[in-house]
Amino acid sequence: MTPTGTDPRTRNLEQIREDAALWLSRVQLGTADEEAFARWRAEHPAHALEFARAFANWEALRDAVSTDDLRMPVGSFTRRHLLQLAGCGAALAIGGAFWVSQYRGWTAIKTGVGELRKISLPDTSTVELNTDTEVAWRFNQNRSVIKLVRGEIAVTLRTGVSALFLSTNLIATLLSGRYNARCVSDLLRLTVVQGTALIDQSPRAPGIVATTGQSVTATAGRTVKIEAENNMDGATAWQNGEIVFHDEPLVAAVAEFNRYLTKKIRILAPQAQFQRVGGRFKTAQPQAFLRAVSIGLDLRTTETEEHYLILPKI
Amino acid sequence: MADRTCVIVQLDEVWHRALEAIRPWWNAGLVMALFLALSNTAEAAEPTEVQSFDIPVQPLSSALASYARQAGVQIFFPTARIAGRDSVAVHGRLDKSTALRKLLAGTSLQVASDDGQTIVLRPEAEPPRQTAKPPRPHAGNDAASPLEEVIVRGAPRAGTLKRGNDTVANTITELEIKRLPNLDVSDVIARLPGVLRDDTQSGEDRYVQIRGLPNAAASQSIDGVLLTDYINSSRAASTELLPPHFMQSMTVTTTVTPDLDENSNAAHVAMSTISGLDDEGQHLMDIRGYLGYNSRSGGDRPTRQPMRLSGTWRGALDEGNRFGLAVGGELDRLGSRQDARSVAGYKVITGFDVPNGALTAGETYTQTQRASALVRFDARLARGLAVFGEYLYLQHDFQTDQQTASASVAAAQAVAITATSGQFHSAGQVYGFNQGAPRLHDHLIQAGGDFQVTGTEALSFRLGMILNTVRQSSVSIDGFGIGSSSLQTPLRYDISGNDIALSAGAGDLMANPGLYRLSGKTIVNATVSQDHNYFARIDYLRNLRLGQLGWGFKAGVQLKTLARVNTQNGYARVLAPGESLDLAAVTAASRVDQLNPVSSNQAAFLQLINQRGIPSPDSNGEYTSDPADGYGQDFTASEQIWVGYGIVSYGFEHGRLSAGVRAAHTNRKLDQYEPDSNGQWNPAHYEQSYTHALPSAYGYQDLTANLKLRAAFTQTLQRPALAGSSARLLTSYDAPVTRWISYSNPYLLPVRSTNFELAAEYYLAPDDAYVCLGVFSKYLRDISAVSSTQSVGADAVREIISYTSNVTQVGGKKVYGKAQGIELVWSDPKLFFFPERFGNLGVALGYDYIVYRVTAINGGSGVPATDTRLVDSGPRHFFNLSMFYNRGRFAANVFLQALSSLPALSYDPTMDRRTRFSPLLDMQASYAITANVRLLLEGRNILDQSISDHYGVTGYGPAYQLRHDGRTLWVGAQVMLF
Repeated sequence: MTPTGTDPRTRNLEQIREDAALWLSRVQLGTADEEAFARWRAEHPAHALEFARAFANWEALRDAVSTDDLRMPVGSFTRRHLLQLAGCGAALAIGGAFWVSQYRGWTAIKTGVGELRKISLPDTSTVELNTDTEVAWRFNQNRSVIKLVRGEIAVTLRTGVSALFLSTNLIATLLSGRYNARCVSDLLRLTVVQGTALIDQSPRAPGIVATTGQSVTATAGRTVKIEAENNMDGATAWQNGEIVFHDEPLVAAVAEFNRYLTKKIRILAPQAQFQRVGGRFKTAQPQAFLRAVSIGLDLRTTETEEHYLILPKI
Repeated sequence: MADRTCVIVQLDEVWHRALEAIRPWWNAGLVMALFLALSNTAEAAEPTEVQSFDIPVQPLSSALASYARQAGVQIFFPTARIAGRDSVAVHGRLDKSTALRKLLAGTSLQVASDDGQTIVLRPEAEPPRQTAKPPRPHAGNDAASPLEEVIVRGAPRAGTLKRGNDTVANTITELEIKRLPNLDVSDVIARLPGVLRDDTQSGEDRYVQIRGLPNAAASQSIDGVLLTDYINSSRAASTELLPPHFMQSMTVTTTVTPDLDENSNAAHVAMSTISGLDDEGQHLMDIRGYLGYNSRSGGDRPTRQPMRLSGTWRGALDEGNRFGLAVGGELDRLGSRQDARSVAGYKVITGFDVPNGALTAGETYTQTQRASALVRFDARLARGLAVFGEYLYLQHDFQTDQQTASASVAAAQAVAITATSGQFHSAGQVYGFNQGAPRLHDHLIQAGGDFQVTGTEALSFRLGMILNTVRQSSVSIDGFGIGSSSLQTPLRYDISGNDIALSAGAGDLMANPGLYRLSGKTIVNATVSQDHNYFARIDYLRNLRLGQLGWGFKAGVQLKTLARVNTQNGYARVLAPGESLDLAAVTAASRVDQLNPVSSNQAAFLQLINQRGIPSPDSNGEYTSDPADGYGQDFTASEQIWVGYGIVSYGFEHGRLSAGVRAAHTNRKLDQYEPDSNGQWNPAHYEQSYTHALPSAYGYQDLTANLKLRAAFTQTLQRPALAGSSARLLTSYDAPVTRWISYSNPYLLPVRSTNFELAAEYYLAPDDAYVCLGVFSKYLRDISAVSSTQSVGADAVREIISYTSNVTQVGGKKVYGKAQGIELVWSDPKLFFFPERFGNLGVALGYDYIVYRVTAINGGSGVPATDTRLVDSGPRHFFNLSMFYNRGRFAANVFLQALSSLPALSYDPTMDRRTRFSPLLDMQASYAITANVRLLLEGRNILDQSISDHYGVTGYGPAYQLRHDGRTLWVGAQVMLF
């Protein structure tokens, strides 16, 4: 049985399910040809649906399997066996401690305001941390598990590598590709710059899939919404030290800029707060931003020890 | 008119022959000169510090952010007035400032600061809302008034629209529409290259002919909904009903893409109405009122003096510019008198042309009243989702009263004959009248929505309903006459060039109106046709916008239905045996003079003819003579068309290639009455279905930042009108001196056309100027060939009997049509060489050279065709020139059109006719009294264009008919509120 592009109308549902299971196993093993997989999924809605169902079932089953299900053969127990067991135990304890410390334990990383960091994971994936971000990761079941606590990260997974993404609001399996995840004010937005994200909504609900150019938004109540990302440039600009805003109220643009600033900008011109603006700036150059605001919106700016201030023109 | 032959000097033919001789060299020289000029200019304009830009079409806000990334700069801009607006695509190697200028062209943003690292944009001028203080015209562009400033700022200009089009197209925008004395949309279209103005006697344009093809060969749409306000027997939309001030832009696509209407052998004209969300909801009121004076005093009866009143208001209804409203109204009353002189024919006597038959003087009084209204509501319901609904009410009452006085002469009786003159001492006299009064009422209800699903995907729908009622009434008679009588003062004729002057004679017995007796048949036509037409379409596109790279596609489905119920309530009368009716009973004139028409009381006439006449047909439903008097016009007809199309396209860095096909399935039904061999009228039913697959391919390549090459191919149709096919008399509407009896094959097929077009366009940024040179070709088949016989009746009215059918070959010869031509367009809103201290001068020039020939067949009137002849079917030369000037408070614009003659040729060369037009000149001048008020002076047909018909093949000598519509001057005022 080979997953092929045969017309689904001529094939029965069981066949599609078998194909979906095979693709799922290849995805899990990291041996799937990403393009072939994408083609198969795009061939017919039934393919995507059955794959999502297979994925959801797999996620549910994984949680249900326990060590009680492992049946070990019962045999005679001798001193030699005891010594062998002790030796192995010691080795396991030492190795396990190392393994746990290296892979099974969560490694937490933070950035301060205005700071950017980039880390490499054992599977050569990378995680970039934006300003004021906290992330934890571990290596489990031969793949990375990345947990975003707050802030914003960019994840790059090389071909054949997948990762499990966790946040308060969302669990997703990320196939190889590039992703941006931002968790600000209990709102999580996972953007698929390139690749496929398999969203795990609940153990009993079928999974849903976000693909290149789409974003998944999840609130604290885990309401999940998938939509086209119309501002991909803005979502990823921070990786170049830039900030992009598209048709936003000035107050929102300033709030975004303030994420990068220890000395915050305050708007003391009420009539200007909701004027809509667009732009692109270096996050390290707030003065250029303030000067532009003063010219473009006919305001004035000043600076105190604690704040930059935007004021009405006298 | 059977025995006409005349020797006529035909300057037009001489001109054609001379041009034919030099054309290959001239064309080659023109192409070389253009390309040399283009390449030199392109080199001169090459910037020194350039870099690659690749900015596809996208929301302008995103495009500016992309620009900043690619240019390596920071940028800031307010977005309130560019929200929802898409950018143009910017590709290629450019310097930073040029790339930014391209993005900002036509927007309201300007650079407020640029220190090399950070660019700050801000609006050019904040538009005051609902205040009396208007924005000041910006010195940097060609806007002549605050209103024009708002228009320029609010929407792309013609050059930008032309450049952004997927295929070859010409566009005219609200700016140009308001700058000339345009009475209706037909007027506006006629300002474009290769378009013939087809006006009525009151000076309004009715239809237009594009590139020589008949008016029904073009289709029109308003905001994406097909316009189907046809009148009986025609498939030409009545664009004369549409007020120009309701329109924001009009785009004429001559080689249509599959998503445009397929009934477009000549072109598709896409119109966009004004919207409350134009220029980001800018509030704008424009009211204009005019009183006119025409040069037609001194007639037998007063000529209505014209007036016009139009007003529009548009603007956003909320601060967020989410809801917009546009309303408009227009009322105009036009009047004019056409004076005509005609000669039925000539005979050669002693080597000279001598008039023979009826010499006629005619006065045609026309009066028109049009009323129209527009309400359009727009809503931006969510980001990327915009919907609109609109209603248009259109009314047109058109009345023509023609009165004629004919003197019938026999060439053999002429005396004192010279090469240029002669006289007659006897002549018969006939006084006649015809009256027609079409009235059109339309209700157009339309709705649509556009949804930008993602940055590359869009979905749109349109729904439309047109309720169209046309009432046509007319009265025509054969005339009141006396036989030949002697003249004490002879009737003289003087030939001067192509014209002929007639000097009336006088005789003792001629002055008494009581001696003139009615003869022949009186026809009273009263037709009501009611249409219920529906339209629906849905379109989906992906990655197909200008500048978007890679594969894209577009697909859509359309349903178009027409349904017409045509009811004839007219009748015909002939005088009962022993009865008579004389002219004195119906005219107030105490005496009549030769070649001097008199008015008549038509109500009194109808009362008398009903008293003294008997029906024709008789009580048995049979005719004693020609049955074509209108009784055959009762019919019901319907048409249902399903269209599906798909376009696949690939966009690359400097161009795009597209190919597509549309499938159109047509079902037509016709129920009508028609005569059997005994002259008895019986019901008949016809039904036909046919399907067409029409391929298209088109593309463009940006050779340089300024030079664009285009190529296009498409197949199109011209479906026949929804009309009865049995013989009927069509009351003249355009030319009352012609009586047209027409019938056709009920199973007429569409004329099919295969169209090719190539164009080189050079854009002179940033002033929206361009030069375009194109060539095109159309090959028409399944052409509905017309067999016709023509004659001039005793009442001097020309009568044409025609039979229309699809003929593919006659005697082994193909029946086809072929149009080939070259088009040159130059448009520059701001001529750089015109000294700025003298103001601003802009120009729009169009020239078309077209050879349009079709096969004419012989036969007709029941005689099968046996032979063909290839004949000209459209003017060769079209020259249009618009010039726009303004300085300070003063602005003046002129439009000049010059055409070569319009042929109406048939198989028999002795029936050939060419209509020759002298130049047409329109103008508008205005002066700003205050920032909100301007005085306007407009003139239409200032040169009182002479229109002369030349009849016959041997040199087209003195005019068969010479007429003038009269000039009109308008004085008015414009009030603008912002």
